[in-house]
Amino acid sequence: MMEQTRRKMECNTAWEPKIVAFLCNWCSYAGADLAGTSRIQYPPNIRIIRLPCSGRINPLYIIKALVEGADGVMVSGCHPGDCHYLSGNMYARRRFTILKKLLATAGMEPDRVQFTWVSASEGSRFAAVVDEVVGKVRKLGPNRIKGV
Amino acid sequence: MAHVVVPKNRLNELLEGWMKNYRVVAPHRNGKALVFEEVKKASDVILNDEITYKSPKEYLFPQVEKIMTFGDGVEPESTEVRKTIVLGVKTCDLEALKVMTAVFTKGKYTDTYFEKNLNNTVLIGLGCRAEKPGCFCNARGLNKAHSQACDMFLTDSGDEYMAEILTCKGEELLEGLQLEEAPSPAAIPQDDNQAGVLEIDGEENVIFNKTDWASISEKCLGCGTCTFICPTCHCFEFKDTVLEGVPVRYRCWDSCMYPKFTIHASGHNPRASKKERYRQRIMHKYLYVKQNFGYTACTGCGRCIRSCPAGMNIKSVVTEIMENLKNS
Amino acid sequence: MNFEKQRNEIAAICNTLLGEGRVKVILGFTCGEYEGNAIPFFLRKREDVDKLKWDDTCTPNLARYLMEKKEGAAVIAKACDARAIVMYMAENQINRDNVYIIGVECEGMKDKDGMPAPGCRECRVKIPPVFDILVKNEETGKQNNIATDTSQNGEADLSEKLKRFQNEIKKCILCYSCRQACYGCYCESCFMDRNIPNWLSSELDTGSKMMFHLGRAMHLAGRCVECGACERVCPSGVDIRYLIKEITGFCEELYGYQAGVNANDIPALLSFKQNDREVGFVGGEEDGSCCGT
Repeated sequence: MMEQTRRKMECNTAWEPKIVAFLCNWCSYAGADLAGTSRIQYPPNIRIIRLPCSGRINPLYIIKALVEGADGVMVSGCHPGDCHYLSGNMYARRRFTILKKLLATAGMEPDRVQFTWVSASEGSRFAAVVDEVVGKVRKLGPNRIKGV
Repeated sequence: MAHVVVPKNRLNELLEGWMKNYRVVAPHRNGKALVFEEVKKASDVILNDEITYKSPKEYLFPQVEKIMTFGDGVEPESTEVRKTIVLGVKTCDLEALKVMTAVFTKGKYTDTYFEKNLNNTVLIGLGCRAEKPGCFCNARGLNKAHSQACDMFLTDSGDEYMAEILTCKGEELLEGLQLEEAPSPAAIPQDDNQAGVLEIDGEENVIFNKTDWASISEKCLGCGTCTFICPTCHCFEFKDTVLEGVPVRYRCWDSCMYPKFTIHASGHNPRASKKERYRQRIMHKYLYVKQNFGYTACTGCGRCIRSCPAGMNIKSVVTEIMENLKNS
Repeated sequence: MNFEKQRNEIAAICNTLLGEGRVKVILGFTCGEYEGNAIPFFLRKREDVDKLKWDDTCTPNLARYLMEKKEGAAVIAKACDARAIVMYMAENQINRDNVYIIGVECEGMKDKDGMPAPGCRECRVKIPPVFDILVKNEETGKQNNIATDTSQNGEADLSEKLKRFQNEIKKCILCYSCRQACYGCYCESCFMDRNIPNWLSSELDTGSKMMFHLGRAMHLAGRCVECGACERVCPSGVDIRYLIKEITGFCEELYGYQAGVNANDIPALLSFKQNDREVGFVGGEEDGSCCGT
C-alpha cells in the first residue's frame, strides 16, 4: 500500500513542461479550436492566451512568462499576408526575430521560445506544432534562468 | 578612552580572528571599483585614502529589508541579524551615520529594524590623510583625520595604526590580542577653514521662494544616482508582495529625485517638475533635517559631485544660496 | 585631435549665434568641480562663452536635454549626439527648424582612467550625420580606438552567455540611471513605473532585473545610437550594453537599418517588408549564431 502510494506520488511529481501559448484570435486560436473539434490529440502542456492579433503581443509578455518560470513560450499568428488586421503580423515578425536574438544573447535556450504561423484551417498542423514545441522544451528540462 | 597600537603586519591576523564570529565588511576591489562589501580573504582589504563608490549605509539600512510576513496573523520579521564589523569608515561616512541614527532612533518613534542593525554592528573608523577631488568635509566643519562617531578609530602612522577605543563594542574586539597600549597621541587638528562652515542659515520662506531653482536644477537628469550613493539619504517605501507563496511586506530605498516619488493615488503629483524635486533635496538636507534633528544631512563626502553625470554640484549651489542671501 | 583649435572655433560660432539672437540657449560643456570633469553647460550670455570647454573628457550626451528645450536651442553635437537628434526627428519628437546643430568631428572621448570611454571604443560614425555648421578635426588619421570589439560573446556557448548575463545582473541595483541618461528613454510613463501590470517589483530579485534589462533592450531595438551614456552613468559598473549591441547589429544585418544616420529612414521596428527573414521561426531559417547547449 505504501509502495503504491509512493509510486503514485512519484508519477504525480514528475516534471511536465508548462508552456504559455499566445495565439491570435482570428487564425491561430481558430486553428486550435478546429484541432479540438476534430478531436485531434496534442500534448496538454500548453496554456493558451488569446489576443486579437500577434501584433498586439508585447515582447514584455514573453519575457515576463520566462522570468516567472514558464518552461516555454509559443507564439502563433496568421500567415504573413493573411492578417485579419492587414499588417499586424508583419510588425510582429520583426519584433519576434529581434526578441529571439536578444534572448539567445542573454543565454536563454532558443528552443524555449517558438514563433510560428498557423491558419484557421490548419487544425492538424496546430497539433503537430504543439507536439514539436513540447518535445523540444521537454528535452531542455525545467526553466532555470533565475537560479545561479 | 584607551589607545592601542595595532602593527600593520598583524592586521590580517586580527581580521581572520574577527571573521570567525562576525561578518567583516571592508573596502576592497570589485572590478575597477572600490566597494564596501563582505570580505572573504583578509588580504583583500584595502585601507587607504581612497573613498568607496557607495557608502556603507546599506549595512544599517539595507536596500531591501523584509519587515513582516502575513500568515495566520501578522508576524514581524524576526530574521537573525548577523553581527557585523564595518571597517575603514571615513569621517564623512561616520558623521553621516550619526545623522541617520538621529533620524531613525531619536524621533518620536524608534525604527526597531534600524536599531537592531545598529546594535549588532561595530563601526571602525579610519582617518584620511588627503582630500580627494570633490571632497568638502572640511568646508562642512568636519575633521577628515578624526571622528568619535564610532566604536574604534584608526589613525595610520606609518607601520602601524593607532587605535582609539571608544566603546565597549570596540574594546571587545581587541580582547586577548595583547596589543601594546600607547599614550594618547596629539590630536590632529582640523584643516583651517577660512570661509566658515558651509550650511544654510536663513529664513526658510525666502530661500524657498527667492532662489532661482529653475536654472539651478536645469541640468539634472533625475537619474537618482546621488540618492543611492549618498551616505545620509534615507528615503524609502514599503511594498507588499508574495515571495514563494508567503505574503511579505518589505521596505526598499526610494529616491526623491524620481519623477514619480510623490505621485498620489489620484494621479496628482505635488513635485511634478525637476525644479521642485531639486529644491526639496537641497532644503531637506540643509534645512529641514537640521530643524527636526539638529544635524545638516550632508557631510561633504563629495560622492554626488563625482558621480553626477550632469555635473550638479551641491557645494556650489549652497554657496550660491548663502551669497544671494547675504547680498539681498 | 586638435582640441584647442576646435574649441576656439566653437566659441566663435557661439558668440555669433548669441550675438545675432538666433538661439536662446546653447547646450555645451564646461569645467566641473575638479580637473578632468567636463559637465553640461547651458550657455545663455555672450560673456559666458569663455567658460566653454572642449576636450576628450566631454562625454555627456547633450541631446537628452533637447526634449525639454524644444525651441530656440543650439547643441554642440558630437556624432553620437547628432545621431540622437536625428532619431528624435525620425520619431517626430523635435522639429529640425527648432534646433541649430553645431556638429563637431570627434575621434573619441576618454573616461577618468584615460581609457576610451564606453561607446567610443567601437564608434563607427565619427562625423555628425546632420549639422548646420561643422567644426572639423584637422588631424585626421589619429585613432584612439582599440579597433577590435572587446565583447567576447560571439563564440561563447549558451551556459557561458547565461553566466555572463547573471553576473552583470548581480551588480545592478535597479537605480534606473541608465534609463534617465539614455536619449531614447523619453516616455512620460515608463513601463517600469507602472503598477498595472506590475512588470517588476523593487525587491532586487533576479527576475525584476532581468525584466528591466531585457525590456529596455527590446524598447531600444533598432534605436540605440551607441553613445555609451548608459554604461557611463551606471553606479555599479554593469555592462549591459552588450545585449543592445547584439540586436543593433542584428537589425543592421537583417533590415539594413542604422539608427540616427538619416532622418527620413523609418526605424526598423516601425516598418516591415514582405520578404522579411524569419530567423529562428518554426519552419523558418535556422539561427546559426544561437548555439545549442
